[in-house]
Amino acid sequence: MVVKFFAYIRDYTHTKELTVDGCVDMRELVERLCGMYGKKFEDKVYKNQELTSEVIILLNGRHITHYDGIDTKLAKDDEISIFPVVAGG
Amino acid sequence: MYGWTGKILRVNLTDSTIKTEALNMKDAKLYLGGRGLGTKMYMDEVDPKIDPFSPKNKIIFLTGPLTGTFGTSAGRYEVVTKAPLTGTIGASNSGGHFGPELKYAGYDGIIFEGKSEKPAYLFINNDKVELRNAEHLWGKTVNETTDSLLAETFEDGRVACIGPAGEKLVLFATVMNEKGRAAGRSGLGAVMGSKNLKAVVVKGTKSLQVADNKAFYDACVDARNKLRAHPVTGQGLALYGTQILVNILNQSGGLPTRNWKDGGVFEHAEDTSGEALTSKYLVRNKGCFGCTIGCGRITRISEGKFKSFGEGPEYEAGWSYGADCGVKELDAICKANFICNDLGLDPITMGSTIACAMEMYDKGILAKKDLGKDLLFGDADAIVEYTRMTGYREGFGDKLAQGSYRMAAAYGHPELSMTVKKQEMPAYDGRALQGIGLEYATSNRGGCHVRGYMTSPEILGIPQKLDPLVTTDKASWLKIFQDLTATVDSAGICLFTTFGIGLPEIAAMIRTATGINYTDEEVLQIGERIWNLEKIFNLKAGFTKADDTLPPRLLKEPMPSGAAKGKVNQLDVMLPQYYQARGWDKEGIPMKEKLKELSIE
Repeated sequence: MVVKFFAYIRDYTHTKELTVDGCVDMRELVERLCGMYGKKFEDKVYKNQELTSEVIILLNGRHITHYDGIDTKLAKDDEISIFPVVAGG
Repeated sequence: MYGWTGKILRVNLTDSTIKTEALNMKDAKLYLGGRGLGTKMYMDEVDPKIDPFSPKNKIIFLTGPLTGTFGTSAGRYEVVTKAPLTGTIGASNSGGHFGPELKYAGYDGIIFEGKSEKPAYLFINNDKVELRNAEHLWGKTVNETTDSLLAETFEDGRVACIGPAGEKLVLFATVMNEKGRAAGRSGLGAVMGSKNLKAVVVKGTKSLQVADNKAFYDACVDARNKLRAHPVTGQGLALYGTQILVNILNQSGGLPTRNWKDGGVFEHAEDTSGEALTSKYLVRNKGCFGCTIGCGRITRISEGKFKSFGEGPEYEAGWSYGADCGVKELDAICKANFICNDLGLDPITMGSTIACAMEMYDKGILAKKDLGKDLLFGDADAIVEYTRMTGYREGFGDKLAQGSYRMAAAYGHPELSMTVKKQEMPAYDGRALQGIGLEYATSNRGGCHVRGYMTSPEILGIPQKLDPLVTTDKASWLKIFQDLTATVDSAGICLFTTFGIGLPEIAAMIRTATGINYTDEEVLQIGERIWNLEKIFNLKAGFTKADDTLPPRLLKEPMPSGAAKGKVNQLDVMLPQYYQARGWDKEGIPMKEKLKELSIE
């Protein structure tokens, strides 16, 4: 699966995109990313084993709230997009 | 008198008379100021069926009770008149410092009536108010006009003006203030042009009074602290500006691409994104009067054929010239946007109209003989050149100056115009965001996102996440968004504050500033009153339920790709729910009980 990072999340990951294998669900993926990118990433994205309110995660373009949130199952061809909460107009 | 100054200038351009009148406080209490009170004042004096360019038409500049105060992001003023592009009520607001300066001069607003024989500008220095000759400014751009006027009046004065587009009655000409801020939509600058009114220069040194200094200060500090602490208003908007939305809309499959025919996924989105703008061209961010957010962009293209400097682009311009025209060159997008600022053009309508012409050329409806050259999707030079030509109505620019609906209709293909009520829809596809589609169809000024910004719950999750692909609850949510926005626009603060604060904080500022003990519900009801009054204007102007619709592309052509693949907008489901939520009948006409409830006579 492909994970894409946007806005200042890229300041923590120092990459725009990453290919990851073997994550069964979003929790496993997020925990693996926290291990890779360290405390700043984790503080923004994942606290007390839940996603923070400061992040938007899309699975193939759909917000994971509309699936099973952090427990959403993942498949190998999925595309995951991780944004900080943003707005504009 | 608290919040408001209590005084309105009435300027008759035909006989060059200027009067000062008392603000109608009964109406001010019901409609606040800006968009709401401006519409009430306008409707009291002008027939909704009027030709916008008739000398009998009027144009009103109006602030709100919070404008110029310590209220958060309280720098807004509204321009109100009948809109040349749509024929609906026209109301566009702008930030910067012009609105506050007008209040420091001692006025809540200005009513312009009649038509000047020769080009004129209004000079205001506190109690000294004069109409002055502007023949030496006619034909000058916004930057030239602003610099000239500051040089001949006060270097620290504030200027609102039109560019060549307004003079030449381009139907989507803007009113620009301080060079880079725009009352941008629906062509209100052309009404100034029709009156030979080039500019307003204002300098003020008076103070404003609020009802309860301590309580007002506390309410404002509370609002400001919440905005600073919120990740959107305290971090994201300052860092990346509004163009941060390019990637998230694209990933969500809702970024309209190539005149909306290629769906909501643009393969070059990253090249035109807020991230790219920040890393390549951003000089610094910029805030308007009293703003803690600072979403504005100061950008510089240092080299190449698009070398330029200016403000923006915002998300909407970045999209209209980018994904909508299929252009990936961000330097060309910036340059085209700067030209819009300098000539006084709305970049949403400008970019979208070029995109429509590109599709017409692609389909063989427009030929090379019409244009003199090719007009292909993705042509970076074309977006720059056709924008300039439109501002001066040169060549095919004269056709583009009518907006996409009139242009496409003249060639027998109005269905290719991505408009509602003849105004171009902005950068969110109503097939991927069902609620924003309902907003476009029902907005009182035609295709518009900032009358009820459903993108906020549907994509961004503010204040809570709604599923963008379903119609459930969208009508009732939209009503609340539209009503609150009308209140915000009329109070004199920036709509972007609502990403970080809500009705309680906004109502507290209005209460403590004005000394009127509104409940929170009454503050929201002011917005509902304004919405219904605007609707009544449009009904009197001749609009019907048939106009509350979307382009056939959104209703009949399924999204070809992305998360919304296969979807069309289900307006037929949502519109009856919306009318019901509003207390309107099945034809979309407000019922007598509703008008009585809202104290609308």
